[in-house]
Amino acid sequence: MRNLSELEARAGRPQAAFGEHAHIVCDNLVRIYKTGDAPRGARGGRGSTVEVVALQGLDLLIDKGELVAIVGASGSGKSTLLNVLSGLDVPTAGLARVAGMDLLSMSPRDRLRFRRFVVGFIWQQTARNLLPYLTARENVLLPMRLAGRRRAGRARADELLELLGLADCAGLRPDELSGGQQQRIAVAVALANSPEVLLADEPTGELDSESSEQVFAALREVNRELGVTVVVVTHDALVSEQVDRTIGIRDGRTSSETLRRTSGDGGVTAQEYAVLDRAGRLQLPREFMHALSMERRVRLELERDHIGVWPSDEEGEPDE
Amino acid sequence: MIRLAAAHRRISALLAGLVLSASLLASALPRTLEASFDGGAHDTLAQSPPTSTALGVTWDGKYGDSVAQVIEGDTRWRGMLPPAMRNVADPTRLMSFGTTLPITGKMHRYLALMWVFEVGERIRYVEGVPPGPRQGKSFEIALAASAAAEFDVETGDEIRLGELTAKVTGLFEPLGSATSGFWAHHAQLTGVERKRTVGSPEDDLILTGITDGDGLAAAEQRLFYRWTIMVDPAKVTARNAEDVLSGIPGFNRRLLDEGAGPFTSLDRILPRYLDRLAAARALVAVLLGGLAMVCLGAIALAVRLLADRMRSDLSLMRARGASLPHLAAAGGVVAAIAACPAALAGYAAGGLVPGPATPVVHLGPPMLALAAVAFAVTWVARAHRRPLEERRDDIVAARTDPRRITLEILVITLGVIGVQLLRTRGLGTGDPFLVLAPPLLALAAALVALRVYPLLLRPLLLLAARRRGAAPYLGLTMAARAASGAALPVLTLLPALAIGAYGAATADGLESAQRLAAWQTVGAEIQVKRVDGIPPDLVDRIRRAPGVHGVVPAAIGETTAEVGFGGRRATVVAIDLDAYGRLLEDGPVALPPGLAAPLPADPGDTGVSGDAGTAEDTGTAGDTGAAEGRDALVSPGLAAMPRFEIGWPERLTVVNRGAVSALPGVTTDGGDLIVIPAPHRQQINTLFVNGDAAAVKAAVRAAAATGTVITTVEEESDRIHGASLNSALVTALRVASLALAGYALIAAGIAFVSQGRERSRALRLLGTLGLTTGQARTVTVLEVAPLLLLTTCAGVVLGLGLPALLGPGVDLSAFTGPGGGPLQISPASALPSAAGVVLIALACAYLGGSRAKSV
Repeated sequence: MRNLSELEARAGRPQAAFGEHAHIVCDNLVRIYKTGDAPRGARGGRGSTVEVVALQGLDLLIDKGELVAIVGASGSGKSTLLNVLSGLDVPTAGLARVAGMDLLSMSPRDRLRFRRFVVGFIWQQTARNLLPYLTARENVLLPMRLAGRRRAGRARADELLELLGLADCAGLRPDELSGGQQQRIAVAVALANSPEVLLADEPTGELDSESSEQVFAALREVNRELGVTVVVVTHDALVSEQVDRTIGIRDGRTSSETLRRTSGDGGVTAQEYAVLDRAGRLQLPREFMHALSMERRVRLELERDHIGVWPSDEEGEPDE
Repeated sequence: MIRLAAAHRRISALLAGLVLSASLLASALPRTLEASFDGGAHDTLAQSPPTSTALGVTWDGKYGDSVAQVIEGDTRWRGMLPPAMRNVADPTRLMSFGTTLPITGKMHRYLALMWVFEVGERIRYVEGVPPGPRQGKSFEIALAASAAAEFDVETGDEIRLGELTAKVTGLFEPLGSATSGFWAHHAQLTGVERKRTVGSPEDDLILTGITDGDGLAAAEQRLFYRWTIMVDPAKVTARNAEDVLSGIPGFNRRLLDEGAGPFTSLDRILPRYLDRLAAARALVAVLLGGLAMVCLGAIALAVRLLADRMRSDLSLMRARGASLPHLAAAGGVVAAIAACPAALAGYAAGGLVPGPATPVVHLGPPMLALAAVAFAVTWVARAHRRPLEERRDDIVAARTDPRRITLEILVITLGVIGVQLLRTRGLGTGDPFLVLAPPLLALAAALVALRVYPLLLRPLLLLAARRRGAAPYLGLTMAARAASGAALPVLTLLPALAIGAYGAATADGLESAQRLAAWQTVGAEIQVKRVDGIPPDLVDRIRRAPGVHGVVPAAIGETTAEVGFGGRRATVVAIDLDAYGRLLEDGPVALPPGLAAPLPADPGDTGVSGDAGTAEDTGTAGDTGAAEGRDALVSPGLAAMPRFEIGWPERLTVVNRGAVSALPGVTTDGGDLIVIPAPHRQQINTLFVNGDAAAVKAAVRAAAATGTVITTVEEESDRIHGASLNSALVTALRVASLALAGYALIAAGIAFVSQGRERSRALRLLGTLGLTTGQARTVTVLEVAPLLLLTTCAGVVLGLGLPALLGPGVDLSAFTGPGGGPLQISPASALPSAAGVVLIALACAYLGGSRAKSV
């Protein structure tokens, strides 16, 4: 037992906030879409409100310079998360901070500055990333012009196209480029104003495997060369082979993490972990639960170095 | 931005086309209308007798001792004219003075000695020389040759006028047209003037001779001076007529203060024109207000479509760091690239249309372009102001917005209040709120239709759900989904159809009323008139002419009903009323109720009555009963007199047997009417004929009856319709209705195209599930049809009901002509355009259904 003075000293010591040093922080993030009328009984309501909970208390920490993939089934909330992180959407509750900017309390001016200089974004649809009537160079120049950076813009655009191996495509319009080239130009566009974070929503969803490999190579290149934090959302579980860390999302919460490590002999190993949130919640993999017929409640036992999880003994317990 | 506009060139071209057409209408239509209104002012004055439109100044007594003073008087009176009247005054100077003296030794014969300004330039001497100066009590005079012959006076004759004498030194002929300004005001110089004093058995004949002015001015006789300031009809316009009219009382007061006497009928003529002008302007304002609203609605639809099409581009720019002002500016510039040149082109094209330019001509096109840009800026800003909307695309939103409900209630309330105020106050007040009341009511009806639509759709959906076929249910489901974006199209389409139907129905009503007025004026299909009487052989020729199937002879003339001290001017009609009643059965007009019935016989009176009316063939009706009195129907002005004397068609006593206020084919010009229900064979001067007009004309030519005037209903109808104000009003109504139908179609088209992507996606999905092309067409038609039909029906019903709703607020009686009666609104007039819009829209939907599936 510690004495009272030790406890007081411990309480008085400054404690690090959750994710204080992380580049991207999501703490208990909630996003609810509401449609229809007010609830029945409310003034003027007709009881046809529809609420869709896209994120329900999601926690996430990503350090500066990481290359992270967020994977999940369709409807799991990964695109919503990316929209929130890019400043295109506003969460309903919780905390979301990117590069030190609180996404819930940003003014319109801050949000504009955030989109211009802090994050770059790549969508799944190749056609959605580029204006079809502008050339590749003009597309890269566009964010700089919108941000009022006209000087040296052309040089920066050419530099980015060179970095991504697209220098010879500078004068071509999107409809003259392949899908992979278009997505790589989209990467260049997203990097035009030197953002700290690059967010990509299914960037290879419409591409063949070869083009996908080229796009991921480009993302790894900018992550390594420019130190940009890269977050890629995808439903493709195999993406974990391309990134350092893969975060799984299920039902609007982070459920698992897969870490990719290189061993001393040069081999690459990937280990999947369940995510334990700050409230102590843990999502068990669905297949584990099915295998042991775990439903509604489980029995936990604290051992010296682990916690055991057993199916509940239904016979000896009253059914509620 | 140019490349952004080029990327959406089709929608930009649509927007440009709409702005161009709207600018052209805004620029050209007011010019044309103003030109027609001016033409109406010109027609009104030019068709009135010059003596009634001029401003006259009289002076009874001595004005001066010389001609110079009289001429100076003209300058003096003109100087008193208010500016508005001075601007329309003709610079031609007309003045005269003189005195009328009885000719010694001759009863009822007078000689007027007169000086007329610059008369020497208006006449040509055919005999003798111009009159010289006065010699004591002897004047030298010159006479019109025809008048001298009638008076049996020759050059060198001396006419004794009491102690004065007038020696004829020359005879002249007038130069120029008798109807020209000068001779219209000095008609007495060209012939013998006849005047009848009440109770006198004989006319007074007045011969007018021109004489030396200075000599006459210095004479001791009481002189009567007259200055005439003619009004130039070309200078009176729709814009200054009101000022001219309002200047007349002030001018008259100033003249009276100076001791002069004003005389003019302009203050009776101009109000008639201004009443018609106000009615035309009010109705046109309603139509143009509706047209402007619909134009703006169509432009807003096109801009919304453009903004929707640019949405992905602008979203990308937004995500790439464009600020909201950036995006709004981009949307505005793209709209401006389409709208500004189009507005300029429309304005320039409108400039080619002749007519005065009113402020709306200059303001309309830029306002339309500005509206297009403002719409674009607003839409883009609204669409991108928040990071993401609080909704998902896969869920239909039916959010109830309290602000929208409040606005809807406000518009409906304003529409109802506006119409009620319009009914009580009328449109003549020029209140812009009242002018906008009908379009506002149409807008309110559109809002109600939008609220009612889901209620109508629900039972249809339930019905469709029970049917085996999937297509109706799918179509109606898509209609229900599309309803959320249908507000703006309905708000454009319904007012377009309502105001268009109102315009078309009113134009048809006006035309039928004018045709009725033409029948009232002519009195039959053909009217044959001859001042000197129609000889019996011409009557027989016309009766026997091929294609003629009805002839009723009549004697129609002016007389003085000898009642009171001065008598009353009256028009006498002697006609077989039974025969005339039968003749009118073929046309849209009829004798007034009860008039065709036999007159009540008075047992105590021996005068001919009903029997005389059937004596056409015997020819005795005109001769019988003259001594005892002739039965007649009289107008209310004479109704108090049981019997009185008239001098035409012969001197006889009229016995009052009933009342009549009007008779088809007879105009009384404000005088009384006396109808003798029997023909008068000796004075037949009018024939009412039904049949082939060409045959009648041929018969008249064959009879060589000079001076015969033939008028047909068609000619009279064309004349009434051709009057500037009438034609302008009807043309404006037709053009506006046509334009509104066009915009309604465009609105329906844009609404259809706006849903194109979603429809195409749905149909392609359904196609993979086995939807056939035919079913796709059915689905598309059913998606479009419910709202289209509801909107069209509501619009047409409102349009046809507007005349009744507006009631006396829009008074068009000034345009229906004499006897035109109230406006008859026929649904048939408005249905073709509305049906055309619906059919074309549904046909496009039918064809578009298969295309959307195949895309």
